[in-house]
Amino acid sequence: MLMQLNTVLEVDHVSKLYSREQISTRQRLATTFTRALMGRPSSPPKKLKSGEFWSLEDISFTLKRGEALGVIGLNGAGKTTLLRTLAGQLLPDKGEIRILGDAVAMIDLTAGFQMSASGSRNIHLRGAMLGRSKEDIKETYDEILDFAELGDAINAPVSTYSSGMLMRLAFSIMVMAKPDVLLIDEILSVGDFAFRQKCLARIREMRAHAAFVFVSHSMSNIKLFCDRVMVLNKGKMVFIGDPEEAISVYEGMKFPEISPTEKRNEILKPQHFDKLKFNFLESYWCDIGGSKKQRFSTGEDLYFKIILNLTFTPEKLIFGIPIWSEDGCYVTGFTSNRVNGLKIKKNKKNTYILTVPNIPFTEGKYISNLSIHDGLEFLSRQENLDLYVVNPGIEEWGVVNIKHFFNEHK
Amino acid sequence: MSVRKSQQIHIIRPDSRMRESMLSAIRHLINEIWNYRSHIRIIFKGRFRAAYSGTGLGIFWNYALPLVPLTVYWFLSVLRVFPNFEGVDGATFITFGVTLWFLFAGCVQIPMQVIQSRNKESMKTNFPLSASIVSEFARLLFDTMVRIILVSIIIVSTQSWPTAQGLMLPFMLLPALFLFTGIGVMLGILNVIYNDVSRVVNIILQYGIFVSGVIFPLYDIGILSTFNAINPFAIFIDASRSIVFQGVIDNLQNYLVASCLAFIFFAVSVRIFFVMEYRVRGVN
Repeated sequence: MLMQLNTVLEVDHVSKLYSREQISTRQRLATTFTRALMGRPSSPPKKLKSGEFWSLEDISFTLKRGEALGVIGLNGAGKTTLLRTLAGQLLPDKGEIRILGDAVAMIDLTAGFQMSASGSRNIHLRGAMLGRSKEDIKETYDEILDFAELGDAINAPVSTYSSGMLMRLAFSIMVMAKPDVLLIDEILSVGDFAFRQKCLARIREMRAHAAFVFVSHSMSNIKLFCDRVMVLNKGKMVFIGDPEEAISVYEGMKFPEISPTEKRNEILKPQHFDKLKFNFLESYWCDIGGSKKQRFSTGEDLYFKIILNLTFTPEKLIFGIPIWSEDGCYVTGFTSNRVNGLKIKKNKKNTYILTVPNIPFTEGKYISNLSIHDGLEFLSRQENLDLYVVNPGIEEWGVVNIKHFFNEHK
Repeated sequence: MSVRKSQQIHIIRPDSRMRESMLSAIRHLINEIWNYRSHIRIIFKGRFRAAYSGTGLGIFWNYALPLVPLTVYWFLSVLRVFPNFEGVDGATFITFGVTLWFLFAGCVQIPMQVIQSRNKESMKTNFPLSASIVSEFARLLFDTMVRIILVSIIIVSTQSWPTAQGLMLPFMLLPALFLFTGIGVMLGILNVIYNDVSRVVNIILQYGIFVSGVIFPLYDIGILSTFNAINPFAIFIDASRSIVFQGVIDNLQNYLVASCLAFIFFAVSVRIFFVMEYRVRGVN
């Protein structure tokens, strides 16, 4: 079978049938059983029986090495079924899937672990299940240990691990398999936040030699990683293409509309705070003297104060403050990443001030987070007090008021 | 997770296994089991430990429980409830037959139980059902070994000495093991389609022990003697017992026919299992 140059995954008119009624499933199985017994080939289902529906219908796409395809859709749209079918865990009822090289699925990360065996033993077992040789596993064993950060616990039975530890081990084994196609289902939305960021960073590194199919409900992750996004609705592909467009198609499908509080939580999550790394942290919007202030006028100078006491010296301290309007529009972000590393002394209070001259925001309420990183590692991501901007009596439209002039052209 | 060789094109299409012959299905399953041998070992060890973890008597239970049914019949024989049969002491006759019965019945029941209880897990992990079945067979083998030790003790105590031809027993059992595993695999698939199958099989096996020449010979009990000639359990148990204690196979012709059919049935069943494995995945 020919595949196009550099293509690692071809999905050709794939459909998958499911049934809500067990009797239909069993009838189909009985037909297949009889055909198997008689040595006759099976034929694709023509008529749907009672309770049957296409959980995937006529899905086609190709994926090249280095490409990442996001899959979004409401619950029950067929996202996980698509991944399971691509992974060979389920057989399609129509169509064909062609994969060049190895495909690894991260759908149920912890499924298949031998709970009575140690983490170390499970590295070998899972490695073998991924088709890797003993030598290969030996070579990457230390790398897996480093990545999983399990320390001595690696010799303890997996049954004694917390879910976070189990996820770390599972992910580490999977990524070290260096697959050609990596199928990822929502797994990066559970477990330890800081480790998730590390996983995402690793996935970014892997993009050079692998293709990704990435199912997520996190639109920010989808935007961050995917070149193209597929929107599924009731098993059908309703859109495939530019991530921004796909997200707006998906947002339009959401029903019922979510409440303002839910929307706010959706925008500001995930929250994270690594207690072990902080002695003290306080942050707020303030005036030039550093006193708390939440109400500013458009065009006024805006300040944000961070008082920080860390238990360690970070390699590269970075602050980030993304800002959204009340209705969820991502307005802008402020980051210290542009300056060459902020200085900090551990176990001592350090104070930092963000200055934003002449804020261009129009009247309204603005919501924001403060995220603190050490390089790629997230230390904290917490919600700030709301910022209120009032109009000093000028005409304004939209979210920002940008200084502008009209002159007569001479 | 599927095992794939790098840089090959892997094609997933509906029921592509339908095209495989019996031989290629058997070859595929043997490779699969070989590839997963470490897992099989670990699963067996895990379940072996789980069987006694948290109990006061610990590992003792793993040895004691398989012996319970045998000791019941041994006890009844000691009470002279059962006479001697075919020149063999009653206790030896029965415990030998019961041991074989549990081995054969296990070959039928284990694939059925595994296909029913592990097909969801198998779908999520791509861990082959064949490997799960073999790991459970390891447990059956262990139980059988424990029972054989007790039977040996009974043989010594009753001085019902086996003949030299008894050494052929393991080879003679092979067709039976193939047949009953084949039946188990086939019924396991059927049980996913028709849930009643496992219940019916359990009932049949409950009665079966009494109509398969396990506890007493059937050749002079009316209709049962006719049934004896076509009941595969009875054929293989009779043949095994006669080779061990008399040095000849009673009804050699029946045994040979049953053995040939056993291999054919096993090959057909394995192919059906191979074709249906992905289809039964995830079905409750």
